[in-house]
Amino acid sequence: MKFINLYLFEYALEYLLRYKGKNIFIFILLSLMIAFMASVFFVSHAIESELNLGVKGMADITLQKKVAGMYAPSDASMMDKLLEINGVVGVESRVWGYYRFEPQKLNLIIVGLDSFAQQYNLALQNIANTFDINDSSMVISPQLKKNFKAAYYKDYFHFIKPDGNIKKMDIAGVFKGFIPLEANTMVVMSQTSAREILGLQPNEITTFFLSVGNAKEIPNIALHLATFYPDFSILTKQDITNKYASIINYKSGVFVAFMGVMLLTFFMIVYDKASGLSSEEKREIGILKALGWTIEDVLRAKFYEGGIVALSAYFVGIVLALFYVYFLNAPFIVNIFVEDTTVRHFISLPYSMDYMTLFLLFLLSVPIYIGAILIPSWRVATQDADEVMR
Amino acid sequence: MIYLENVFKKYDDVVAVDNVNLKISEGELVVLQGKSGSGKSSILALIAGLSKPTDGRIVVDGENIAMLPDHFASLYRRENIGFVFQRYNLVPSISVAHNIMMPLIPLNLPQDLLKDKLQKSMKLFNITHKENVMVKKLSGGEQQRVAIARANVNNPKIILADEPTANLDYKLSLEFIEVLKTLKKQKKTIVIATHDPLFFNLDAVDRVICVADGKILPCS
Repeated sequence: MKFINLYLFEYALEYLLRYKGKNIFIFILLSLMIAFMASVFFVSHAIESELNLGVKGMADITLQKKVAGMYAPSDASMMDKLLEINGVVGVESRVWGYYRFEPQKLNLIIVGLDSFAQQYNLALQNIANTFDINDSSMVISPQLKKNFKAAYYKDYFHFIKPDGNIKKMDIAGVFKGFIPLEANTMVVMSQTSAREILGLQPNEITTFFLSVGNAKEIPNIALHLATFYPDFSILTKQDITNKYASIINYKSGVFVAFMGVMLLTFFMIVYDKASGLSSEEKREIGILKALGWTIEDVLRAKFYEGGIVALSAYFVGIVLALFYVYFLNAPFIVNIFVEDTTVRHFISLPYSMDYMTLFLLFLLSVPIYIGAILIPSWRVATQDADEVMR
Repeated sequence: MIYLENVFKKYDDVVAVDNVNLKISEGELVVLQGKSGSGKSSILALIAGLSKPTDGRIVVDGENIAMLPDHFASLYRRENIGFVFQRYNLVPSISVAHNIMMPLIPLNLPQDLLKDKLQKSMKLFNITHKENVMVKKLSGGEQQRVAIARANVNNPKIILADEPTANLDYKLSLEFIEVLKTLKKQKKTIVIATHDPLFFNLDAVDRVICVADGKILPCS
């Protein structure tokens, strides 16, 4: 006998159609449950990979001067002193700052690029190599291009300088391949333009990036810096990871997901247990047994029946989740994950597929549903057919 | 061929079959006559392996089927028994053809063979023209023909019919008797449980056995 009995499969399909109202309800519920769970997992995984990717490209230690708790510029000559510290193998500087763009409620991140210097970040290096940035042009993110356009700035933007004058900057291009969380509100321009807009002197820079030869030495060097430069904010790679994790609180997101999974799965099981098998369904199993079906035949038909519903709901759920997360950019769920409202609007989730998660979702949905179908049928099928039909 | 020896069947405290001894030969058409609740349906269920006797032996073709495990009881029914139930026990919301092919589904036969068996059975019991009609749309007589076609589709050696004319008018009952004759010509062993007097003096009937209070008694 062949292992797959297509007549049994056909019978199962026919059976589902006979009770289509109930089965469509279960199918929709199961699909939505899987879509919800998958969406949460996709979002959390995408953000997590994004963070890991972002942290990879970061400097080992970041230094920024603070005055009365506010970030302040430092003198560029400090670079030489930092290089003298044992274990530090390289120091880069950066000119950057926030610029409030009120019409779109955005905090733009202005990054000044010295196109002749080696960039501390590969993405910035790509921008420097790709675009011809002069003192009156800038490169922006695709998201910011849309925001500017919405405020009627198609080809240029007017920055208001600290002295109240306007600086017109042409949009030279749109960069891609950057980390969206960091780059969605980023504006890259020449260091001279950035200094002009942010009100910095030619010898002033905002951030130092230190490279450390031995990664195990990073905490010691950070401690050394904290002792000798108490007026500086010192962040290691690990500190920045933690900071991002607090902004994008994926742990709480996962927690919410599991809550949802548990509640919905529980609801499914309760529904199935409460409804059980109707007298008509029981009678049909009795008839099948009387006609020579074995318990195994009955259960196999029921397995197909549950499998058709659960597997189709699983695939539909996954497709819905892919559409929701990667096409619609996961509205609502992103709000749960990302607490910072200014960041939230600009997140474009990169495609990131975790097959273990898909398998976990499969385990949490398909076998549970098939089990809920098989158990009451098995109870009936193991009784005497005569008794069941009576 | 069918041999019941000291068979008892109790449902809770009710004795449905009380020390029955019965022998039915191959190709014989036997009528179990008795009132409702006399125990004749229980005897049929025991012969079909649908329920197990509380005590005694039921031997069919030399094999004691009384205590067969559920799996083997199903296989025994599949190979040997065609059962026509009192209320037909058809699935009303599927087609005639799907109802008739139900006993064949677990066999996983090649499609040609399955169709051939189905067509032969439908033709024999004159229901081919209703092949794709839902059973719930059929008349009582047509439903019964579907039930008989289903019982016969796998060409079983034994046909058991429980009150087959209980829901039929006189004309349809006569039609059923014609069907019985057809089955008898095919050398089937047939056991009918009925209280319909129409069966008691039929030429085709080999024996009438009277059942009362679960016992086999001489017919008065």
